[in-house]
Amino acid sequence: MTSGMKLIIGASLLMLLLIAWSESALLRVAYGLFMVLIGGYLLTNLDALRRQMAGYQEQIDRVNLICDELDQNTKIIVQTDLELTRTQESLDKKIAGLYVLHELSREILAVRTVENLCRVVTEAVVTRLGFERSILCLVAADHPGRPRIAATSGFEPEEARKLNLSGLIEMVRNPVLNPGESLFFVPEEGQAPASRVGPAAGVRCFAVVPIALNNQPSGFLLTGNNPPYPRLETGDVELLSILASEVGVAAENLELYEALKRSHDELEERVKERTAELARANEELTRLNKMKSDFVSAVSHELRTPLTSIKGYASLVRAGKLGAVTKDQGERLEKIGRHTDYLSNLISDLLDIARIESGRVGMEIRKVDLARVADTVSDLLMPQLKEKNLTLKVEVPSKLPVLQADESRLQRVLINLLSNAIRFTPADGVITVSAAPGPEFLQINVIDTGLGIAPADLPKLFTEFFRADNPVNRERKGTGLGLTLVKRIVEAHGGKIWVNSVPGKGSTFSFTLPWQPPLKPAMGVP
Amino acid sequence: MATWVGVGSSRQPDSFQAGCEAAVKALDSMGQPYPDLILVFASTRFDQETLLAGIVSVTRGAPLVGCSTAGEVLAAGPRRRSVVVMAIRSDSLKVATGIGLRVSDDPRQAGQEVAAQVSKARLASPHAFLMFPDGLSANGAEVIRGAQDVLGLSFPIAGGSAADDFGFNRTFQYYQGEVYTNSVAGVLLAGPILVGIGARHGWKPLGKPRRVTKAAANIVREMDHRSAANLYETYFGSPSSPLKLESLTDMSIVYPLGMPIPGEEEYLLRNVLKVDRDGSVVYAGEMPQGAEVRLMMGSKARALEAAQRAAEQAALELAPRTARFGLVFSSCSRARLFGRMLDQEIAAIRQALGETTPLAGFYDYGEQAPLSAAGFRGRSYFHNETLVVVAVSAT
Repeated sequence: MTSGMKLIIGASLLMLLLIAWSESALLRVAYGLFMVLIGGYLLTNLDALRRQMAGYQEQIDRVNLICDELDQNTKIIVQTDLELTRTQESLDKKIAGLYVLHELSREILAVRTVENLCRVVTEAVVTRLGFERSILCLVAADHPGRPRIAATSGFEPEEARKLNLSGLIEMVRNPVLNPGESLFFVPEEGQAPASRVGPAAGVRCFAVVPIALNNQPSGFLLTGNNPPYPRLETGDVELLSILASEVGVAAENLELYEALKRSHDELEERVKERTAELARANEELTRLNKMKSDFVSAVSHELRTPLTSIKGYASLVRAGKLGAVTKDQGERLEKIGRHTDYLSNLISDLLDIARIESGRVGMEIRKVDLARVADTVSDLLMPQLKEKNLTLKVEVPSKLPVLQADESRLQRVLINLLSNAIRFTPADGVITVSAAPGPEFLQINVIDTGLGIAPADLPKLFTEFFRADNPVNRERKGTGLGLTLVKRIVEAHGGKIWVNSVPGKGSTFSFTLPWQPPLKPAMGVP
Repeated sequence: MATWVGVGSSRQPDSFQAGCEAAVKALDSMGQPYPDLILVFASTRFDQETLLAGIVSVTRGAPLVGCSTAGEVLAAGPRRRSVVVMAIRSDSLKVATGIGLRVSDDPRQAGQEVAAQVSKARLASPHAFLMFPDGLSANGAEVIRGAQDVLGLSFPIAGGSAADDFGFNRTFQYYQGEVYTNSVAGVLLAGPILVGIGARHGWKPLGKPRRVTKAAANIVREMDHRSAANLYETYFGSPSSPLKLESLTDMSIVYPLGMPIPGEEEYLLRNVLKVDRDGSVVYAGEMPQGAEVRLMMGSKARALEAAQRAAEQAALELAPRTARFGLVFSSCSRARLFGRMLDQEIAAIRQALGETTPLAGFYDYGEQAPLSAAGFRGRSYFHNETLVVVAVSAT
């Protein structure tokens, strides 16, 4: 079109030029004709132009329409997307809530006081469940209008200080504390808050769920939001109710735990006191025991010297060195001699026990040949054995490991045990001394076929001055120190002694000696 | 030449103890006793003065800037209601700090003030200016213009606007040991270092372009000669359930408005702060009259992809060097959009900057960053819903 137009404009300009030059009428006529022609051409063209313009306008309108349609589609897209986003958000929120709940219930297990429990829970409601504010309050059992334990989160320190908890408790008493239902309030746009709880806690929408201790509503968990925090939904109340019931159980457990811990602590304190008392008593006893040993040893020493003189002079008189002695006098003097012997034995036993107990005397630990010791002892006791026609069997293995012990004391042990055996074994009986080597200890048994010991007497056998009540003891005097001394000596070597006995059949005294006694012999065990 | 960076955080209930703990942890992980710069980002749940007293009791006279937040960022992930302290000691990085007061009266002058203070130190080879203006009382775009008046139009400015845990009540700025409000705190990074900045959001335009026909600062009264709120009603409202003003703020997190910027790939986003009864809408950033705007649509997937690209961009600008530490300024709207997936945004940043690179940052009420930061020729703008990643390489 434009090229045509240019051509027409160019032609008309040329014509105008020609008219300007020539003034002939013919040309003017021609010019007029030409102009008419051009006018006709332009008119037809203009019409086409208008039609074309209208076509463009149509296209523009269509594009606009499509644009508007697209905008409508945008609306649909946006609304669908919005719905999706909201669904996803609420789903996310639920999953997140459950996840936090799960995490929290594990953390609650580690909390040890109800105060901490309240603090942890309110903090989590704000930091992890994403609510703006939360108050957890447990009311006092004896004073239901007063808060016992309370924790807040999401408040400015100043606001938290101003919070009137007692007022809040009164506001939520019905229906949260009594009968124990949850309270849920979300005002519509522009609606005035219907409850006083919202303004009191400084939140626009809120939920209050009861916390039950021992099936009794004893507190509440208040959670609230202000814009732009999202409005609370019924799902939130469910979540908070689950949390509240968990808090209830945890608080119950903690209270039980606290009570248990208190009584445990009390008990421990008492045990401590009692132990201290016993330790003091024990100290006192040890001191007294030592005093007794010291006393016995001092007295024994003091007794021994005059006793030696008495014995010496008595035997002098009896030997007739101070003039003739009548038969009666001789008998009495012999009695004196016997009784002094008894006394001096008693004193030396007492002295030995006292020495071992006080730990004053060390033992002379040396290599000991057990067979030789047994021989010596049987030689010493031969007269008594022969007197009652008793058989002594010594069964000591020929090859024994080296035994380290105090030989003279070991001899004493065997003498005391064998003397007892001889005393309580009727004529023609058998006494056996046997040795059984073990990995750490050597066990020596002294077995007799005597009277045996009454079971009731067994536990007392090794205590000082104990004498079993039997015909033999009634007839013969004894110190009651023989077995005590044996026990002390064996224990001083780090060994043990015990007895097995069947009344009427005989007794077996067994003791062990370690091959190597402990470096510091356990002397003077109180 | 060496640079030591340490980050510490605390969730202690007591403000003083929380400050102490976070600062001690930061100095401990830095391994040096005397820091050159302390950055503090903290929840408003703390008593702010007590908190700073706790931090200063540990860091003593070290230069300190920071602000209150709507959530904090650590390399380990996002935090709520905590305090994060980053301590830096460097032979190469040099810093100058400043504060501009009364941003609500004259935001541009406050921007000039803080920029003039940091320029006074006349540090050699300045690289970037980090600033933390009040996110509620300041017109962020004007503060940036003020700083640009002093530093130059193409000088990179990055940072986040102070927030207050979605309370929209009062935010705080920290400068040395003092707590300010209605102010802007800033720090200039200079020296033989490299600073990489990446800023992206991931939202895409949707629907017909509209024109802002009546607006002043961040309040839009009319769009296409109809009330501004009407635009949202067109898209969101249905005859059965008329749009509630309260939920509009919420929706604009996912559907902000976008303004195309000539020569830039992404649109500049604007969130709705609140809607007035007369139908005018208050945005979290300036909306000039005559601007063309479009409704934008985002999704978690796109936002996450954008986070990745922002961090990659920041890292790329340092190449072949790597980041010594990173700063993250992410919109509080993003925090709410991501919800439970929020840690994935930080994971994406960690991946781009290096798994062991120390990170600190916060969720804010607006971001500052150059839009196309390549070669530092881009001009810095005030953003919404955007993630700004600052990566610093210092020997």
